[in-house]
Amino acid sequence: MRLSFNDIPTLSRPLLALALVIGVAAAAIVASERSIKGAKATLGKARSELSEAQKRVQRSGEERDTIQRFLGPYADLAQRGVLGEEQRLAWVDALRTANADTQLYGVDYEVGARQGYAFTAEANASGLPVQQSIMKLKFGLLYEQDLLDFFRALGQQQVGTFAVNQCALQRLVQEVSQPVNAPTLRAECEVAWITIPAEGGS
Amino acid sequence: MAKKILLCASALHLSAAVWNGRRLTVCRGFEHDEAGQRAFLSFLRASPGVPVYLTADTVEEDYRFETLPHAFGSDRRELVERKLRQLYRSTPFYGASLQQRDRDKRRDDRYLFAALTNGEVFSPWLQLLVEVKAPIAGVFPLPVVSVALLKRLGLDDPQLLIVSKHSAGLRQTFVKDQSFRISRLTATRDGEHRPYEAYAEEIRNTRMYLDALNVTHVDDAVTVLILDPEDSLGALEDAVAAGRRSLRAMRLGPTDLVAKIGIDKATLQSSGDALPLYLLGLETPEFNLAPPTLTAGYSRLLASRAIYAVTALAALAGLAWCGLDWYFLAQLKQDTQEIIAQTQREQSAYQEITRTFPPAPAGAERLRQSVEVAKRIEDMARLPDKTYQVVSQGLDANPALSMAGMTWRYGKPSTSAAEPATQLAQSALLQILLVVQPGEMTGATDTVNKFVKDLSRHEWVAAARTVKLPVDAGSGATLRGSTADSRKEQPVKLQFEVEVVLKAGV
Repeated sequence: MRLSFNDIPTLSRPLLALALVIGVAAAAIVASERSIKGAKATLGKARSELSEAQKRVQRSGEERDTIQRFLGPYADLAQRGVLGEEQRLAWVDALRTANADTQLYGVDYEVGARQGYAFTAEANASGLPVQQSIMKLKFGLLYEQDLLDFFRALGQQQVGTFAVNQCALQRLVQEVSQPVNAPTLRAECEVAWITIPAEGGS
Repeated sequence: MAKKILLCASALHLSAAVWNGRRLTVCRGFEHDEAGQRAFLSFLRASPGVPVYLTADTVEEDYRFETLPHAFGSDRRELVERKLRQLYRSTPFYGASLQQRDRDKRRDDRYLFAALTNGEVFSPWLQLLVEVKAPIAGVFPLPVVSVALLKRLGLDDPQLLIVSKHSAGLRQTFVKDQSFRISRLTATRDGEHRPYEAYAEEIRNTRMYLDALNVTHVDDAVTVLILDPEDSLGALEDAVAAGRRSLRAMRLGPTDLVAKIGIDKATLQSSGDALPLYLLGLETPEFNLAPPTLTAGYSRLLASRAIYAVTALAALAGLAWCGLDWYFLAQLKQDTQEIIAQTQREQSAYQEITRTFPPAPAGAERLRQSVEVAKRIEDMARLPDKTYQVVSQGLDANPALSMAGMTWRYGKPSTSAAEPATQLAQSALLQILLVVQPGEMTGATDTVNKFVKDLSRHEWVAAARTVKLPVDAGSGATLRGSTADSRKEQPVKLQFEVEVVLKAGV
């Protein structure tokens, strides 16, 4: 059988059919391979979900123990305002009470918008959406110790958990010749009120 | 088996048959005149695109054996082509077939050269074939076609003379050791009284001719195979063998042919050329006399069929691939469904178990994590009490100093010299006052340095350093002041800044 390039036009129909069939076959193979890939991924996901479900069943006893162990402390946190929504009015009331208890000269406060907690990694809380609101405080002190007393009194109010980030103390008078009931130090502090939103909350 | 058109041309006649499904479905004759050609054209048009196989039953043929030097590849091809051109200059229908190789040292090749010396037998029919663009598979010598019969009959006689009566005359083909050697066509005279006597005489002459050519020896026994599809040569068998010990005759009548070859009787008796046409349909000889220009259409047909075959293979491969994929896909989906069902059962079981759990506002993991994180945050919180202690001890050890202010921070230290930045630590920037007499500036610096050293020595302190001195005595800064009357000079308050960083965890 001898053929030349001149014979190609006469073979155009079978060549076209061959190209068409190869194209269709290739497209069908690609499509079916994609389907296989997708089905394998779905199967993998289903297996993973099954494994997770089996583990959950196996761990159910442990889960019951965990609930029994942490339910009480969790309720305490919720009652103290650490969990759920912020209790800003309670914070203000607590400031007032702490100020009165420590016989200070009044506290100016300013609470900023809620934001993500700054030390999530340090607290190993990457799985939780821990939030913080920065409160700036300005108040007068008679002695340096009053600062510690004030924050301890604030903590005893049990209206949430807070962390003092920064405090700047500045002496107002250099020498006290006669005792007077007036502040000798000016304090400006930055306190982070920290809350953990309830499950399903923002 | 693919459909074929089989043609057997003689000087006056053309026999045509359609081969389909391993049998001749149509077998017709066409006379060598205008009406015959018109009928043949209609016959061709009824089967467009079907490959055509030709054979010729004519006296104008030539067969000869030649010995050529042993050669390979293109050398052999050129050698044979040159020989063919020398032998057959006047006809395009010629060919060569390697028959055997000598066993001596030269290993010369022995070829059968054959040609139809007068192409006019085909000319009118070929023109019609070209007109309808019929793909011509080839032109095959009738004797070579007939040799295929021996295999069908299972005859292995070493010297065999096949005798058959055709429309063109009596054909005698001599086969030695299953290989074609010589063929003769002798015109017959109609109306002869005892034609088999004349046929027997022709056969005896052929026998002597073979001896003369040294193809056979005079004592060799030659088997004469008489093909008699028309059942008209009954007396020939005895006539051939009469008085000749070296000749043994064997006649195959229509019944034998039908039984041994498989051709049906009606077809066999429809034409004198039915038997060779049937043999041509059964097996296509490799020995082809057609020039390449004549078989170009058939080459294209074969190429087209090959491409369609590849196309079919590609389609089948694609279907098989997709079929396997679909099978796997169905299995994967079934497995997935089973796993989903199993997952649902596990989830139901879990739901059943959770009904026995104490009521909780959140999942166990969330409860645990919330409580533990809240505790960690509370544990991390610091008040400046420890810093107070450190600074107080430093000031107690240095009574000349007093504190004007302090900025305390708790977080990641800004200096890498203290602790790794990932841990939280307390730090404080202290504003310290020192009252000095004029002329005691050097002593003031010493006091500051001692204070910093005292801080640094504390077990809770990671680092302490002077951030700002009351006077910058460095060579790179400008130092400006006045040394007025010393009696008028008053003690001055110098303020400097010291940073102290506590160790992480304090």
